[in-house]
This record gives sequence, structure tokens and C-alpha cells, in this order.
Amino acid sequence: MPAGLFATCLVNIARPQIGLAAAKTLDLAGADWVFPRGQTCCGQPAYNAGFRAQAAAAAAHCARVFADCEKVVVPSGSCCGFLRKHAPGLADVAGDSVTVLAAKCMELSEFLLEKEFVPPPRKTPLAAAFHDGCAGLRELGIKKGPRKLLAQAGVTVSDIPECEVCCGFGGAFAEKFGGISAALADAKCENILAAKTNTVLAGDAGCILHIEGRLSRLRKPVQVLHWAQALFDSGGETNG
Amino acid sequence: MQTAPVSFAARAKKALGDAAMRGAMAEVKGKFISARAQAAAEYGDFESLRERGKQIREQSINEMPALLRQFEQNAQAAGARVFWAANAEAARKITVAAARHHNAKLAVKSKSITGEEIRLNGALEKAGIKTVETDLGEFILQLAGEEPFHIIAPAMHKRREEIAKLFAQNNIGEGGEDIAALTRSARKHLRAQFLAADIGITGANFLFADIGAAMIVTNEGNGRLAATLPKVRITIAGIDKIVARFSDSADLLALLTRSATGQKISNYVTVASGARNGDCNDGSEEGPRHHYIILLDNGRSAMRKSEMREMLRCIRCGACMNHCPVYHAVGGHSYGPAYMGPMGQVLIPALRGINYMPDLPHAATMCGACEVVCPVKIPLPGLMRKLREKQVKEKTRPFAESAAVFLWTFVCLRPRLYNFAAAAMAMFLRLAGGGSKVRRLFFLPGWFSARDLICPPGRTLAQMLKKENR
Ligand code: SF4
Repeated sequence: MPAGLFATCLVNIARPQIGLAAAKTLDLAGADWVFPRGQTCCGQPAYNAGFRAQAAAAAAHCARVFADCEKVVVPSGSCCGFLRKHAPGLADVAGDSVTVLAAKCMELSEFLLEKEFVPPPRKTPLAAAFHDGCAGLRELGIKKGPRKLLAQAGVTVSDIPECEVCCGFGGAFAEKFGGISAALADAKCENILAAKTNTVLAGDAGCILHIEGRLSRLRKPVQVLHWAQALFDSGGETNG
Repeated sequence: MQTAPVSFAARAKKALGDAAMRGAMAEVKGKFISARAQAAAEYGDFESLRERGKQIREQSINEMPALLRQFEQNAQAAGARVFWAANAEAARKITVAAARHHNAKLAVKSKSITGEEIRLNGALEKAGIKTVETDLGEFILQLAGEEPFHIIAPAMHKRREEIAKLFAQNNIGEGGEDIAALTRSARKHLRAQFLAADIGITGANFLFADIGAAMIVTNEGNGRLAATLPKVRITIAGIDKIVARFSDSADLLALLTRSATGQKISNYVTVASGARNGDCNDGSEEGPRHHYIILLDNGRSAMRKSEMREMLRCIRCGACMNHCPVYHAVGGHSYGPAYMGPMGQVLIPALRGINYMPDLPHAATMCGACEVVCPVKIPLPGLMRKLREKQVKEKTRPFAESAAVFLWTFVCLRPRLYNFAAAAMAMFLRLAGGGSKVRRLFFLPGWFSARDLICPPGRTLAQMLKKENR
């Protein structure tokens, strides 16, 4: 059975470049993988808003879509965290399929490391500073994996100061409490500027859009990429 | 007496504009975090200790009624009188009645957040009993007429200059902004109050059922003075403070002080049970002649039977707020009365009902920083989510939010519709951003109040991969 790539909504709509980079790593890792066409949202937004039944319905749909996949590869710590750690708690509504799905979900770096993937070295040098997304870090324990892959690709990785502190995104939180969220983002931006880097790397499209959105509003010329994009000179978008 | 609460969002907005507070927070936040990290590392297997703490406190909750009865028996046998207060009003009445019975005019009080919860000071003042806070932080706030900003460091947001001004206005000390001198002045001022006080009022960090004694933990020693100098002592404690065995106190203390301030142990730990009675023939005059212990329920029994049950494990260490980025940004006055930070976001709705300050459990990014440091492993974000679920179940959420979730779910269960909507959205964002960035969108005012959206390519990943024939 192949592995299934789960785009996640934010990547699918707002930052497909991340998905392309993830797809490229899967190809290079020699993985047998598919992109199931029926995939939609995992249900996390409804879940965090307190809409349990709706979250369960979305998670169950997700389980159906990936039923024929041996693994589900997710280039996002928070969606993967939701499916793996939280969705099984919805089994009373969603049925056992969500428990099966949970056991199959792997964050991209976990999957690549399990495949013993070693990225080819970049041609152009890149120095970047890492921000650890909350869900990936605290729900899935992802910390060293992406750094290891980046180092193998020849990226010089440092940590931004307070790299484990939340950037303030929190999904709907950024909309409902825009001011507080911005205050958290400002603290994050200060740390990024203190790191004196041109490139910030993270593992979650939510953090990425949020941090880069605030940096842009503050007119700070720092790019924010998913770590998978940084593995490639081209950002992973082309075959180059 | 209690006014309707302002929403968290409104209070937080005001707090975000308070530059002095935010400056103070930026300065101190790192200190708590590194102190706790160092103390946990130095202990060794702090994770196992947290698990142990969780178990000790689970037993407290499981056996609460029986343990409380055991505590009552043992404390009464040692000469204390135990009262049960079903709610805040009952607790205030008992306290005032006890104070009146002894003709008290002056009460010294050590820090008690439970006392804040039931607004004890106001009731005592109304009854003509002057009440002096003796914890330095609480003393400062009493002068300033403010509520605690933090459960263990109530005045952490106050700067030295501000404190010097307050002292000068109240004729305490000789002026100047030297911290040591200010502390000395407060100490001198308070010492006189201790000696003159008719009653001492303390809280309790733990109540040990097997020995019928209350433990209080302080760094300034004011708790011990309040507990032992006046002839009458009143202890006010939530029923959740019960612990089965005194032999567990070492583990609980290690968890409490290391999590709170990074100390191996606090400067003072006072364990006292009853009162000095006729049996004490050692000729000494020390210790209270009367000790009233008030066990406060105020919603806790109901909590024990609810989904919020785990919150009763809380040992009030403050680590969750010390590690909360939202708390760091908005400070302790943005939350409800007495409790703040993640623990307040759960405890306040759990005690007062989910409609008391309905946005409280929503004001979290769910980053989980609190949960991983909580010494008794309370799943704080999970409990906040359960509160949200309860609001949804009781249909108290705004219509627009429910409509958005229903619509989104409807779309997500229909892949073709989803793919169409996603593609339309991607194209819309592309056009709205004109190739560079989106600066404003009417349906996301919160986001665009402070952030741009870098223009997406205009096609979804699903569309892009299709072209590559996946
Ligand atoms: S919830 Fe946990 S971390 Fe917060 S005060 Fe209570 S015991 Fe401490």
C-alpha cells in the first residue's frame, strides 16, 4: 500500500509551494506515494472551536479518504498532531476509523527519517534560523528531525532565541484575538531580528503565514519557509 | 458587591496599551522560566515527580469527602474548630462572626488567593475590622487598591518607583527608591500591625487529613507570624487543598516551589493544626488560643463531578501563567477575579459557570506550554477545549461562528465542492494580493489588523499536482 500525502488546507490554498517541496522529498526518498483526490480538511478548526460533532465528521472523512494508504504523510505539525493525538478521542462519534488513521499519520520529517532519506546537498549555501511550532514540538516531539535533514542538505541552521515559544497564531485565535496574537507575533519578530537572519524556517504553514505576515506588515525583509522548501535550491518547486 | 465582568477581550485590549506593565513583564518573564527549568533539571527525574504529584492529588479528589471528614476530626481533636462554607457568602459570614466573637478590631492577613476569591477583605472592612495584608506584594496592592496580578507574585508588575511613591503617599518609611530600604520600611510597618492584631488570617497550601494540620508556604515569614502571633487564627482553605498523608508533603513541596520560583524549598514552611489549649502547660504564651478553619466549597464539589474535575489537582504554583505567552502579553488583570493565566481560564468558568466570562477559555493559542510544566499534569488546553465544547452544546456561541463551522464542515464532507471552493479561494487571494501581498480583507479583520498575507500562487496544491499527473 502506498503512502498518502495530506496537503492540509493552508498548504493547499495559501502555500502550495510547501506541498510541492514535500512531494519532491517523497520522490527523492523513493517512496511509493499518492495524493488522494478526496482529501479536504482534517477537522482541527472545528475541534478547537468546540464543535466536536463537526470535527468528528471531518476526521472520519479524512480516514475514509486515506483508508487505502499505509501511512499518511503530513507536512504540518498541528494537523498531524490533531489527527494523531486528538482525533482518537472523537471515536465515540467518528467511529474506530479515526483511531486507525491516527496510527498511520506521520509528520513529514518523521516519515523521511523512517525512510532513511538523506537529502542531496544544496548547491547554494543557506543559513537559516529555526522556529519550533507548538503542536509539532509538544504534541509530536518533533525537534531534531528537520534540523538533521537540513544539516544533511548543507543548510546552516541556528535557533532563533526562544524558538519554542508560540508565535501567536493559534488558528481562529489570530482572528478572534487579533491584538493579543499580534503582541505574541511581535515578541517572535523581535527574536527573529535578534537572530540576524534572512531566513526563518518552521514546520507548520500556520506559523509560517503568521510570522511572515507580521514581518511583512512591519516591513522587515525576512523570508519564512517550511523546512522542506529549504532542502532545495529552488525551494522544491521545480525539478532543478 | 460584585459587578458584571468586562470581557477578557476588552480587558486585554486595555492591558496591551499599558506600556509600563508590558515592559515589566518583558523583563521578568524569562526569570521564572529559567528558574523553573534549572530547578527541574537539578532535581533529576522531575517528570516522575510530576507523575507522583498527579497521583497524590488524584487521590485527594477521589477520596475528598472522606479525607475532609478525617481532617475535621483530627483538627478538632487538636483544638481547632472546623466550619464548612458552601459558598463565598457563607465563608465571609463565618469569618466576620468569628472576628466579632473575639471583638477583633485589627486583622493581619497572609496571602490567600482563596480569600481573594471570596472577597474577604471587603466583608471584614464593612464589619469594621481593619484588615492588613502582610505579604509584601499584597501589601503593595492593598495600598494601590489593585487586585493581584499573579497568584504567587501578586505585585510583579509594579516597578520600584511606583512602590516608592505608594509608600510615600501612605507615610511608610523615609522615602527613597532603594529596594532593600523599601522592604525594611514595609517590614517595620507590618511588624507593628502583627503585634497589635487581634486575629491572624491565613490561607493554606495543603490540608493534611491524617494529622489534621494546614501547611502554609511563604518566603517572607509573614504567614507564620499571622498564624502564630495573634490570639485568634482563622484559616480559610478550599476543600481541594486536602491531601491524604503528611508523608507526601515532601514531594508536594518539591513540586510546588520548584515549579513556582525554582526554589528547592520556600524560606518558610509552617505546619500547624489546632490551637493552644488547656493541655499545654509549658508556660509559654505563644500560639493562638483559638483556631477556626473554614473549608470552602464554592463550586468545588460540583466541579468534582464535572468534566473540570482534573482542575482540582491544581496546587497553585503559577507555573502555567509563568510559561504562558498570552499571560505575558496581557498580564494578570485581564482575567477574572483572583485567578489568572491558563489556570484561571479553566478555574473561573469551572467555579462560576461558563457564561461568566465566556471568552476566557477561548483566549489561548493551545500552544501547550502550560501543560508541559504543570507539576500535577493538568491538561489545561484540553480543559479549555471542553469548556468551549460545553458552550457549543449549550448554544451560547455567536451565530456567525456556528454558521461558519457548519458551512465549512458541509464543504469538507463534499470533496468536489471543497476542491472548487479551495481553487476559488486561492484565485481570489491571488487577485486580492495583486501578485505581492494582501493587506486587507473584510471577512478577516482580526488577522489583517496586524498582518499581511503574502500573495499565494493562485492555484491549489491539488491543481498543481494534477498537472504533474499524480
Ligand atoms: S494549573 Fe498546574 S501549573 Fe497552573 S497553578 Fe495549577 S498546578 Fe500550577
